[in-house]
Amino acid sequence: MTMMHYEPYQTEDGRTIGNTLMEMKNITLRFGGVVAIKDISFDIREGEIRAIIGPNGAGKSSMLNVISGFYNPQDGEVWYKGERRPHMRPYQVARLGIARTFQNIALFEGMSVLDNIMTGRLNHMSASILDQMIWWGKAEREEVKNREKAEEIIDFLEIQAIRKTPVGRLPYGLKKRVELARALVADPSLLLLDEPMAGMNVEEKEDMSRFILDVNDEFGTTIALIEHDMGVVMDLSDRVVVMDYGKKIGDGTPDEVRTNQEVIDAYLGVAHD
Amino acid sequence: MPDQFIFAMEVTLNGLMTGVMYALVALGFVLIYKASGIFNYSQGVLALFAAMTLVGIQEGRVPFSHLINAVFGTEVSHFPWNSVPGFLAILLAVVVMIALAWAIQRFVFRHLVGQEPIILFMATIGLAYFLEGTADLMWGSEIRTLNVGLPQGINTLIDETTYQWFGYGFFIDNLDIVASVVAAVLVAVLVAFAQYTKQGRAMRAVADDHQAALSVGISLSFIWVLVWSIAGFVALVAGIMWGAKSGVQFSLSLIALKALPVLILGGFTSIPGAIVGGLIIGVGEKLFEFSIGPMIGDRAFEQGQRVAIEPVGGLVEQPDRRAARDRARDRDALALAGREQADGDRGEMRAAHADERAVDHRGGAGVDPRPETQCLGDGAIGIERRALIDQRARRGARDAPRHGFEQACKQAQQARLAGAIGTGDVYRAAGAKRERQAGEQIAPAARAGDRFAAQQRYAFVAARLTRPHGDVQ
Repeated sequence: MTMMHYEPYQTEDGRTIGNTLMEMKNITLRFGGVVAIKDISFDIREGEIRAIIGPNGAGKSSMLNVISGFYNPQDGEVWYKGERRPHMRPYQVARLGIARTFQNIALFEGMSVLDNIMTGRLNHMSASILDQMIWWGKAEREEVKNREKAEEIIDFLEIQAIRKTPVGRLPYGLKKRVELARALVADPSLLLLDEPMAGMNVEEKEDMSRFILDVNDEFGTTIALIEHDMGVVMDLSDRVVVMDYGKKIGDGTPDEVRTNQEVIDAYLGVAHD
Repeated sequence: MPDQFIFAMEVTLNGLMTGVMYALVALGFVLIYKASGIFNYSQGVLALFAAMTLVGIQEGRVPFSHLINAVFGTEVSHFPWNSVPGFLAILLAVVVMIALAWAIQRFVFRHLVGQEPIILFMATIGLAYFLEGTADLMWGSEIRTLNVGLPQGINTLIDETTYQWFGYGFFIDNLDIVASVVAAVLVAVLVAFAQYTKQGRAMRAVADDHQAALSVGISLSFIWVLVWSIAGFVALVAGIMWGAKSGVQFSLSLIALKALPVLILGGFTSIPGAIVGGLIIGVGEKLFEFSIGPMIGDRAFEQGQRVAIEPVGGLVEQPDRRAARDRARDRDALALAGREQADGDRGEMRAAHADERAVDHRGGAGVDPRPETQCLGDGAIGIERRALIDQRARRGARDAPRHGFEQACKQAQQARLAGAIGTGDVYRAAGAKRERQAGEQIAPAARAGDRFAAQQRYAFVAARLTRPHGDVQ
C-alpha cells in the first residue's frame, strides 16, 4: 500500500497545495468497550489547512492524539511522508516534525515565555553535553541559531513585550499564543492545533485566525486543526473532515461540507434511531 | 585575640566543613525534587547503598554471598581477585547506580506517571526500605572502612599556619577539605548541566508539565532515568565522603535526616539554598555542641566534657596549648569509655555510684565551701589532671600516638552511631549485634578510658572513705 497521490495546485490566494503529507487509513480507537474512533480514513496535503470538526464527543481530540502519538489506535495505519509510521511514543512523533498545541494549554508555567519557546528547539540541539555546559563551538552556534529562530517567532506572533514574563502570570489568550509559538519554533512540517480558539472572545478569535493563516502563508506550514466554531473553520480551512460519534460523516471543501445533509443533521440535531 | 574567640573560630571552620557534607546529601534531594517533583525519601539509603556497593566492589566481595551460600550450600565470599583499585571501583559503582536508576524508573515510577506527589513520596519510602534490605542482603551488615585513597587526618599546613598566627593550631581534617572541594566542583558541574544543556532544560521541562514536555519531543523515561542516575551519583559522592569519615554502616542512611533541616532552611528547589542551608546547619550544630552541649549533657558525656572544657579555659596558663587541644579532642572517646564503664558488672556499677556521689560532692563544694569538701573536690580535680598527664605520657610523643588515638576516637564515634541505631525500632536486633561488634572494635579505646576512670573512681572512693562521717549528705 502507498499513500494517496495528488497533483500540486495553486489556491486562489497563491498558496501551493502539494502531495499527501499524512494519511490515516481505517483508524479505529477503542477505550475498553467504548469506540472513540470507528474506521476513519482521511489525508492531509502539504501546505493546506485541514480542519476536523464535529459536535462534542465526536472523537476529534482522540483523532489528534492518534496523529501526535498520545493514543495508539487498535486498528488502522498512519502514513507520514510516504512511509508507514510504526507504533510511536509522543516524543518520537514530535521528533518527526509534528508539533501540537493542547485544548487545555500545556505550558511550562514556571518558566518565562522565552524559555518555554526555547524548549521547542530542544530537538535542534546536537552538540555534546560538555560543549553545551561550557558554551563552546557547535553548542554556541546552535544556541545562537535557536535563539534567532525564537525571536523570529516572537516577532511574528507579536509577543515581544511578554518575552520575560513567567507564563503562569499570563492571561488565557496570550498563553494560547505562547503555546502556538512553542509549537511553531520547532519548524514543524505538520502543526496540530487542538481547539486554538476555545474560550476566546471575538477579538481574540480574529487575532488567532489571522495568525493561523499567516503561519500557513509565510512558513508554508501544513496545519491540522480541531474547532467547534463552524464559522471560523469554514473561513480558515481548505478542506474539512466532519466527525460524529466516532465516524466520519463528511470530507471535502467547506462548501461541499456545508451542503452535506448528514453534517447538517449532526449539527442541528436529528433523533438517532 | 581572646582564646575563646579563637576556639570558636576553629569550631566554626569545622562546622562549615561539616555543613558541606550535609549540603552534599541535601543536594541529592534538591536535584530529584527540581527535576521530577518527587521528594525522595530514599536519598540517604541511596548514599548507603552506593557506599556499600563501592566497598563491596573494592574488596572483591561476591554480592548476595550469604544468600547464595544459604541456598546452594556453597562457601563463596570473595572473587578470585582480592581487591579492585579505588578508581576502577568508583567507576563500577557509578555503573551500578545508573543500572539502579534504570530499575527504579522501570519498575516503580513508570507505573506512577501522573500520580499525586504524596503517592510518589510514599513510593520513595518503600524504595528506601527495599534498598536498605537489598544492601544488607548484597553486602552484609558489618561495619566497613572505606578507603579510596582520600587523605585523612589533621591538615598540618593549616595547623602550622594558624599556630604561627594565633599561637594555637586549628584542627581541620584533610577529608573535610577534600569534601568541600569535591562538593564545589560537583555543584558547579550540576548547575552548568541544569542551566545550559539540552538535557538540563528537558529536566526542568519534565518537572513542570509532562504533557507539554512530551509534545516538544522529550522522552519522559529517559529524563527520569537521567535524574535518578544523577541522584545516584550524588549519593555515591556523599556516601564516599561520609563513609570515609565515619565508616560504611547502616547509620549512614540516617544522614538523610540531617539533610531535612537543611532543605527546610534552603528550600526544596534551590541548589544554592542547599549549600547555604547546609553550612548554616553545620556551623550551628558545632557551635551549639560546644557551647550549650556541656550544660545539658548526660553524666557520661559530662565526664568526658570536664576534660574538654578545662583545657579550653586553661589555654592562657598552659604553655603547650596544642597538648590542651589534644585533650579537648579526646573527650568523645573518654565520654564513650565512661558510658561503656557504666554498662559494666556490679563492682563497676558500685564504683560508678561512688563516682556519682563524688561528683555530687564536688558540685556541693561549689555552693557550700566547707574546707573539707573543698579540699576533696580539689583533690579530685588534681587526680583527674594527673590521670591525664599519665595518659599523655603513655601516649608518648605528640604526633604518633595522637594518630592512634584519633583512630580510637573514630571507632568510638562509630560505636556511638551504631548504638544510636540500636535504639531504633526497625534495627533493634541488628543494632544490638552491631553494637557488640563495635564494642569489640573500640576495646583499646575503652581500655584506655577504663584505666583513667578507674583511677578517678579510686580517688573518689578513697576520698569518701577518709572524710569525716556525716560531713556531706
